[in-house]
Amino acid sequence: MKDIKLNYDYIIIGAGVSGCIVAERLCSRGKNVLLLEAGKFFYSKNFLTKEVDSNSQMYWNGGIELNSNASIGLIRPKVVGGGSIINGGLLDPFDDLALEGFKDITDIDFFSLNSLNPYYEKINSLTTIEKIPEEYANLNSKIFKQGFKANGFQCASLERGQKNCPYSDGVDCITCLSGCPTNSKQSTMTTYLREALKNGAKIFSEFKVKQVDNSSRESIKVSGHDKNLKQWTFSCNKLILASGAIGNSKLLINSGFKNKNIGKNFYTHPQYMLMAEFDHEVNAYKGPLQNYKSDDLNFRKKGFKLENVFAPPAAISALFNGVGDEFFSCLKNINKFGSIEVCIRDENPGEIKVGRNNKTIVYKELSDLDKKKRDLGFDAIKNILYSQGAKRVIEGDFGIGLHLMGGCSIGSEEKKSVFAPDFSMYEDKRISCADSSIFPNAPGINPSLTIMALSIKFAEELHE
Amino acid sequence: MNKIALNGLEKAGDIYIPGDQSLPSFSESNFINEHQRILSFISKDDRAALELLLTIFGLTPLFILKILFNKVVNYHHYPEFIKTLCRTINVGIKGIVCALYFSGLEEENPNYPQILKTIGWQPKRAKANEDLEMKSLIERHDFNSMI
Ligand SMILES: Cc1cc2nc3c(=O)[nH]c(=O)nc-3n(C[C@H](O)[C@H](O)[C@H](O)COP(=O)(O)OP(=O)(O)OC[C@H]3O[C@@H](n4cnc5c(N)ncnc54)[C@H](O)[C@@H]3O)c2cc1C
Repeated sequence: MKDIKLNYDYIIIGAGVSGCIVAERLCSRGKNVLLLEAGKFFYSKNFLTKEVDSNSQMYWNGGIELNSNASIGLIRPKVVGGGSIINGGLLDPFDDLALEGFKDITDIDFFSLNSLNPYYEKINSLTTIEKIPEEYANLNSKIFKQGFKANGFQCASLERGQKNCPYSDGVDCITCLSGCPTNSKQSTMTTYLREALKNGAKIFSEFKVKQVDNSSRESIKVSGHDKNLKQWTFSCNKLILASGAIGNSKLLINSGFKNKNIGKNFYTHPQYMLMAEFDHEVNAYKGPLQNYKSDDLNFRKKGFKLENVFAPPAAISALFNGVGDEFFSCLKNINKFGSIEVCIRDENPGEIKVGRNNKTIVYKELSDLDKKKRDLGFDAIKNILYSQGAKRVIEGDFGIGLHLMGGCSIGSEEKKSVFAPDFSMYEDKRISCADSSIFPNAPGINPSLTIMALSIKFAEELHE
Repeated sequence: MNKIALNGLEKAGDIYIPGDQSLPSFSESNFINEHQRILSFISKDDRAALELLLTIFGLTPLFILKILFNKVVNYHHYPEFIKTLCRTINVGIKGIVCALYFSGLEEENPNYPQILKTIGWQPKRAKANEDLEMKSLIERHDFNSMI
C-alpha cells in the first residue's frame, strides 16, 4: 500500500477508448498519470467466456440500463479498455455530413476532414485497421450483400481494428464480444494502455469515482472507493474526464458543477435488429461477426445505416417476441436466423439525470422523424431479407443504445456547451475531456475512430 | 434472494422456457442455482424491486402468472405508464432467465443439461494468448493488485 502515491500531474477518470489514448500520449512525454477505472482489468488470458458472466461483470448494472420508458436498452461498458474490449471493433472515419453537422452546432473549425485527417492517420501507428476479409464471410453476411444487390442498394466491406485474426483456424469472432483472447482485436487496452503502463502510468481498476472537488486552487481532489469499499482521495493538477457520456454527466452532476448543459444533448444511435428466419441453417455465429455495412447515399441522407450483425443467445432473446413456444422455438432454432440492424442518426436529444440513490435516469425517446428513419430502415431490411428467401422477419420495437454520446457537449459558446474548443471545461479550465460525451449531436457513423482522433488531438495540444 | 422469490423466478422462467422433448424447462434445468452470477451485480435498488416482484410471482398461481405474462408481452395498446412497466418486466425477467439457460454453464458442470450443444450453438473460441507482458504490467502498475 505504501507504493500507492496520492498526487499526480494528471488523473484520468475512465480507462476506455479515450482514457487509454490520452494516458499513452501524456506518458510518452514523461507526465505522471493515474487512471481510475470502475471496471475490472481483464486481458487475453482471463476474459470471461460465459455470456451470463460477461453481461454482468463487464457492463454497468449487470448488463443493461433502461431509458425512462424502457423502450431503449443502454449498454454501457465497465471494464479496463471500456467499449473497445466488448465492441465490434468497427472503425469508420466521419464523413463531411457528420463533421458539417458538428461544425454547425459548435462553430468549431477543426470539425472538418482536412483538420481531422492527420489525427485519423496517427491512429495507425498503434492500431491496425483492416477490411474484414470476404473469403471468411458467413451466410448472414452473404445474405446481406446479395440482398443489397437484389434491391439495387449499395454496400461496402466493414473496416475493423484487428491484426492477425485467426479466421483460417475456424475461430468465431462472436466470442470476442467479451474480449478477444488473441489480442487481435485492437482494443485500447492492448494497444494504448499497454504503452502507457510501460511508460510508467498507474491504474486503479475496480475503483469507482464518486466525487470531484475543484474548490482548491492548488489541486483537484478526486474521491471514490475501491472494490473493498475503502475510500480514497487522490489529487492532481489537471483532471481528464473519460468516463463516457453517462459517466461524465453523472459525476459532474453529483459533484455539484453548475453548468446547465450537463446531461443535456444525449444521443444513442438507437439500433433495431430485425431477425429473419430461413428454412435452412444460417449459422450466423461463424467466422467474422460482421462483414458489410450500407454505403448508400440515399440511406445516409434519410438518416439511417444498416449493418449485418448477430449476438449470442441471451442477448438475442431480447429481440424475440412472446412467451412459451412462440418465444422458445426461436431460440431453439437460433441457427436458422439471420439478422440485419438499422442504426438511426437520432435527431431528438435525450437527457441524463441522477435520481435517488445515485440511480441513472435517462430521458430519451424517438421523435416522429426518428421513428420515420427507423421505419424506412425496417422497410429496406425486410426487402433485403425477403429477397433472399426469409420465411418471416421479426420486427421488434425494443431499441438498443450502444453509441452513448453527448451529455457534456463541446462548443464555442458557454451558454450552449460544457467544454470549450480547446477541450477544457468552461467552469474550470483545469478539467478537460475528449471522449464520447463531448459529441454535440449524433453523427450517424460508428463513433470510436473519431473519439480516438479527438483524444490524440486533445492530448497533443495539451502539451503545446 | 428469498425462497419464494426464487420460486417466482422459476415459474416465470418456465413461462419463457417451457422446454420440449429435447430440452428441459427452465425449472428442470436447475440453472437457477447460478442466479447469484447475475443478481450480485445488479444495483441494490433494482435488486430490491426485483425481489419484491419475484416474491409476488412466487405467491401467484401459475395459471394466473401465464395470463399476466401474455398481457406483459402484448403491451402495445396499453397506456404509456403500463407499457413502461411491461417492457421493464419483459426485458428484465427474460434477460435473467435466458442468460442463465443459454450461457453454456453446462461446460463447467456436467450435471447441467447440454443446452448449447442441443441447439447447435457452438462457436469456436481462439486459444488465449498468455500475454505475460500484460500480466506483469498489471501486477506492477494496477493498484488493485496491491491492496
Ligand atoms: C456492444 C457494443 C458494440 C459497439 N460497437 C462499436 C463499433 O463496432 N464501432 C464503434 O465505433 N463503436 C462501437 N461501440 C461504441 C463504442 O464502444 C463507444 O462509443 C466508445 O467505447 C466510447 O468511448 P469513451 O471513451 O467515450 O467511453 P468508454 O469506452 O465507454 O469508457 C468509459 C470508461 O469509464 C468508466 N467509468 C464510468 N464511470 C466511472 C466512474 N464513476 N469511475 C471510474 N470509471 C468510470 C467505464 O467503466 C468505462 O470503462 C459499441 C458499443 C457497444 C456497447
